[in-house]
Amino acid sequence: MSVLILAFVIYLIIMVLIGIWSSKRNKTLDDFLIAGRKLGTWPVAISAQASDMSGWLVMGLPGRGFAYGVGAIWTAVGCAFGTLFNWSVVAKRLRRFTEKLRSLTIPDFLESRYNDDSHIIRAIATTIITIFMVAYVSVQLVASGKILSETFGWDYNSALILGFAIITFYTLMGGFFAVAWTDVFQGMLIVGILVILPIVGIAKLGGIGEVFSAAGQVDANTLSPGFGYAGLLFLLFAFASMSWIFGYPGQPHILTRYMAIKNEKKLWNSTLIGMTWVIISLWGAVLIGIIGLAMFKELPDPEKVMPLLAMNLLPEWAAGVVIAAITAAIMSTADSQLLVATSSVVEDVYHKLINPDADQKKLVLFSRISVLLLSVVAFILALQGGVIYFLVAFAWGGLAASFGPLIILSLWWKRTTKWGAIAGMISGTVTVIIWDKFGIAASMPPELVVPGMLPAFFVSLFSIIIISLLTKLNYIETKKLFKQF
Amino acid sequence: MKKKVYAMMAIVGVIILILAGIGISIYSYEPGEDKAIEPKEKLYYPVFTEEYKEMTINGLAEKTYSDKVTINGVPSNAILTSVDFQISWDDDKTIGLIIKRGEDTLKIDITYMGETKTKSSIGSGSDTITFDINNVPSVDSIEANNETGAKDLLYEMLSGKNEACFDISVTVETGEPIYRPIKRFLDKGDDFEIKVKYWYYSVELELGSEEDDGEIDIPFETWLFLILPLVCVILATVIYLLWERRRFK
Repeated sequence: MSVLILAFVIYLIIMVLIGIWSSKRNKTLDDFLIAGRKLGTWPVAISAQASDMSGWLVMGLPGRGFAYGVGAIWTAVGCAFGTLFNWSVVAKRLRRFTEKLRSLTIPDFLESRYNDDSHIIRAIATTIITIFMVAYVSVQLVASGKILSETFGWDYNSALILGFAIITFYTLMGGFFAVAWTDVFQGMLIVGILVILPIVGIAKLGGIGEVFSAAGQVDANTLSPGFGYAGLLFLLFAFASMSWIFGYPGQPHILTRYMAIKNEKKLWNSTLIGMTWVIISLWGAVLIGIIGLAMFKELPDPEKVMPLLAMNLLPEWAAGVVIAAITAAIMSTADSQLLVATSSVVEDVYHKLINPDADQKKLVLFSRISVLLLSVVAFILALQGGVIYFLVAFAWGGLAASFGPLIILSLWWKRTTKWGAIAGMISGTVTVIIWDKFGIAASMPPELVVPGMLPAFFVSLFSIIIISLLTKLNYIETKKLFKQF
Repeated sequence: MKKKVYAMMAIVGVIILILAGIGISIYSYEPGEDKAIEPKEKLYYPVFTEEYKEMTINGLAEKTYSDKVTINGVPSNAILTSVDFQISWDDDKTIGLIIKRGEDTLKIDITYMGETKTKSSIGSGSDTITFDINNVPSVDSIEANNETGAKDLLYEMLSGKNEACFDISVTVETGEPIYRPIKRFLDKGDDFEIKVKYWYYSVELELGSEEDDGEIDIPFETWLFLILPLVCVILATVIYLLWERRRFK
């Protein structure tokens, strides 16, 4: 046990040291929020993916693999194509637009894109981001509480406090630089473990055939791509699992990575690195779930399959590294989301609306205070616990529906208007909340429940299109803007 | 001022780390309920083989012969199931071809765990007394992580069932074919022989064969589904990157 603790503590020390080192690089709010658009290929590539995947990758997705076997690959496919969509359709254009419009945040970009002097777009976007991002951070804290309590035998709340303290500390210290560079370190750790653990598990069980055979004995449906469903129910299962794909263009914590890259030519290499990382990680996570099913048959909480597998298959020190990697996945997302929520409060509300003349030092200080306050709110929410896969689906879905269609259309469709944008954000948010919170699909088995993000995405998309076509466009301004790209 | 802020933050960071380290180290590792989860167990099948051993007790019963017999030749991981005592004797001092006179009566009592079984015969005898000691455990299969674990479980079931102790008492009532006034020539008793044959079951473990283990055929669609989406994602990425590179050129 002591070796396991040592490996974990070394990891925490590295994270805090990166935080301290990065803190000296934050001279302006630009530096704190998007690293002054000075990030290189690797930090952008790995940071975008590590921030995206979160505790969901190392707990939620293996848990899904454990419960649904190869059927969980649909989720991996949805996420992989969603990532590719972002790199190919959103990244470069968003980088160009935000640089041209001198935008630091997504609300900033939307306000400038639609010349919204009334600040309505900014106010709505900031509110949505703050609500869903804080909810999202709280999910990461739930994940950190689960993993630390599982590993060290602590009660959930004590584990939560440690996770909260570490994440808050280095985000508060280092801002975007710290977040991006810790993401690189954490991302490499995660992908390494997601390769090694399945290999060890397969070898231990005597081959991939043995793994599937043992999993099939527990539940034959786990060998079926449709989890035993046929016809329309099969399509529903696959579609519901893949629905994550619609969320990618709407995640501010991922989009800010594209905005932070030093120059857009680096995006090609970043895409290559990022996609390689994401493909390996997703398939590795699903395999870990299936191997866990073959070994343990049943678990009280399937989302703990990865730490349990590590502690059963690996020597103590290696299990410590795995626990560190899992924590890394959680932290790399939580810190990014905390930063996005902070930017909404400080840049979008305080700096742009309340005190436009505030000096940079004051803004950085305010950002740090905001990090602390928002993480306390997330911590309070996290005390309730819950199932990570579905908690993430809600927070992810909220952002996906509110911003996904809007970002795509803002970048690619000249005809989008300010009122269309407002309608899209509001209709998407309302739909996702009604769908998920008021139990529209509550009577279905969980694997067939279509997450709110799917209907909400299309409601938002059609709202933007219809309202934009019905309202007046400032054609000259928009034409001027699009002409540059 | 700025340096002071950084120094303060660094100090706060170090304090948090120290507190975290202390917190982790003072908690001892106590697995929760769901920690006791073991890796998936395999099926082992015990195969029992019946074997026997014999031993012989020779004695002379002068009025009464008493002895304690312990059966301890059974291997430690086997189970003693039954013991046969076959007593043979012949009166050596009788007269008469058709009607014998002066025949002795030999009685044998064997006691095991408070139960006594008796046989008696006149003139000669070859009687068998059988004791059932243990039943073979009705274990079809044992679930364990490995062979050692399965053996441990099985041997625990068999523990202490490989020996038994018997009290044997052989009594002779002598008969005199003719009157013998001199005590020295009186019938002294009889020689007897007890053959002890004990049966036991030794056990071997066999790992469940693939068929027995319920191994199932993995459908082709499973393999296909594992690979095909992966190939599609990789292909889509490569196509996009090549297209993007061409565009730049």
